[in-house]
Amino acid sequence: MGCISALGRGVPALWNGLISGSSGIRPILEFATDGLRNVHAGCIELAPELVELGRSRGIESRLELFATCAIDEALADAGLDPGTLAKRRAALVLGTSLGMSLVAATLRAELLDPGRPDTSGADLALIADRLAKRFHVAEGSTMVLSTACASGTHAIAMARDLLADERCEVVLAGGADSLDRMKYLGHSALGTLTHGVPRPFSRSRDGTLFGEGAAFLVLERDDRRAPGRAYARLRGAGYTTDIHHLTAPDPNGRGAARAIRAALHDARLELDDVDHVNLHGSGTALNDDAEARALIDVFGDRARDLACTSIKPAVGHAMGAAGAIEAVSTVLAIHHGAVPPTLHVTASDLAFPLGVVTERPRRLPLRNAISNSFGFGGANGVVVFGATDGARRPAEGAHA
Amino acid sequence: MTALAITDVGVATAGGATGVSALAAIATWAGAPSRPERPAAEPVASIAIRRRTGLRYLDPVVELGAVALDSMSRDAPSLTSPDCDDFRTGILAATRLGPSSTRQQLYRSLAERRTVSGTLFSNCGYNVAGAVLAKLAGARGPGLTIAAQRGWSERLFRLAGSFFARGQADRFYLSHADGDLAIVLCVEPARGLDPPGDRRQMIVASLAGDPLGADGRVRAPEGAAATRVQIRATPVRLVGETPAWNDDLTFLRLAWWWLASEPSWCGALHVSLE
Repeated sequence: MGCISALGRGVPALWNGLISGSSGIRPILEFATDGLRNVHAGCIELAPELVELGRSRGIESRLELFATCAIDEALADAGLDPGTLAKRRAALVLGTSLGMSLVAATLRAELLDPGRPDTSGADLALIADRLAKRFHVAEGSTMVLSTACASGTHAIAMARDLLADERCEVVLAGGADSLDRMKYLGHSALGTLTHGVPRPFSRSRDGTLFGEGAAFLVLERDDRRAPGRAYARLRGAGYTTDIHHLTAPDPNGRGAARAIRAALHDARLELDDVDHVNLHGSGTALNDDAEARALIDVFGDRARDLACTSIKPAVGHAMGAAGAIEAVSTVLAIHHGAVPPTLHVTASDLAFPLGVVTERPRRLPLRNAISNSFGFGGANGVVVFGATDGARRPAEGAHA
Repeated sequence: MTALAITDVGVATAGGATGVSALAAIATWAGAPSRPERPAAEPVASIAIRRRTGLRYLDPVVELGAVALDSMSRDAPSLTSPDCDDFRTGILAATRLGPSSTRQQLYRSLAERRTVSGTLFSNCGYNVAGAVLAKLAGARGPGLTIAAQRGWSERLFRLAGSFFARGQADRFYLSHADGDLAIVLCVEPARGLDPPGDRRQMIVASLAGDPLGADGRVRAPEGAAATRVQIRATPVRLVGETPAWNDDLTFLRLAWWWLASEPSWCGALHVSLE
């Protein structure tokens, strides 16, 4: 796996930050903040080594730089040489919300002009073509998905399909997104930003903060993977669409509940088999309410016992990358047997009867976990990960 | 992979043309009707569509997709049960530029007023067309939007096929809306086809050289005409500037067989998508 987020570059930086209760949210320095409802975000500092990486590999956009960092790390972690991808039946699936549109396609600050937006990245296929060339993935074997903030989760789910029908041996799947003034102004106008810090599922929640980054997972078929290398098994996925509103979820959480049920059915799991939920948990009043209703609808009283967490207060809502970063967190939670806390929330302030982990990590063996993502346009995506050993039922699956 | 049956087709072009008129406005073929004049007024259909979506604003390309969906023949019986679960109908969309007009308005707004409209921002996502189509079709199942890269039509068919194979959906609307043209295909699993009678359906018998169906062959339903065509050889070509469509003409050719080749076939048409 590979990841870059507001908590730093690399999977260890993400996990260590989450477990220690750190936050990568900081004042925005990357773009002008006048007119914004909140001037903090989970922006990634372009340290000199990142700028040099971009320069040396001909990368101009933040999104491509983040994706490249995450893919580099994921390939190294999986013991794969980028040069070998061309020889194997490999695919690359990228989830992103607005892709390279509405963001400046340059890393050079002197060229950033908020009064003269960059329109060069409007073609959704552009980023895939660049990444395919960079990582020697055969033409026609890259796919870009855009389902708003469910994109990263859907990309990982899609990888499972590519492996299942035996067209691919290995799939790089994940999400990438970058933040810019245009996007933050848009979310500011929609009123989704908190006035303070995100407090998901608390009584005092009033919005979210955004972030940026990328995460990728290397997925291989059960029968093709190198022994002992897998962190977890990707067991199933569920997809539904709310047909309620372009930017608000179905208030009853029906679509979200159905996506969770579909994912568990796909994974051939019973409700009792699930120990952990990585929540969408954006911290907006409507989203959290709908997600809580969905979880209570599906799990009933057991929702109180599920170890649930939202990592968005720590890394920001990374939009199209969020589902992928949260998938990495979910896999690591299973791998380490620990659930990171939801920042800025105390047990006494919880608004719903859910087992939200607060204040400190909860350590427990995790057999299976789900990761939820819900996006604009009513896009709902849920993926199920399981431990590589000790799963109760055998199921078809791919390994991350 | 599960064999697929195309059970309906909708086409719309900028200016409000649908059906064969829309095809003739954007493509040419032997015997094509003369290209229609573009109506000056906003088509009535789109006003009704806005009302049904409950949205005051629709990007032109999103509206085009909605008009194409709306133009489908509503009286065609479904291959699936009429009381089918709406969570088992989905939308699979492909686009390159998405709602580009809305994006341009955002750029102008930021440049001129240094502010961004919430309405425009919420309509600039690449998946907005799919979301609006889902609302119009009442499709609560899987809704995915992919980049219309080279070979996008094959990707959409394969995606539909894998959802069918896993039993997670019964019907998909496959859509591509970009520039001045939108085409929507209704796709269902070909398994369990009853004798179709007068029902028209295009059965995707092979995809990129892979024969479809469990036994590698798709049999023509009892009593159905079983015309076979190689879709690549279909003599239809785009006219004018439609850069987002030029990479893959499969949907256009399928639309031609459905809308313009009538009555040369009825019942089942087996198509090979190479």
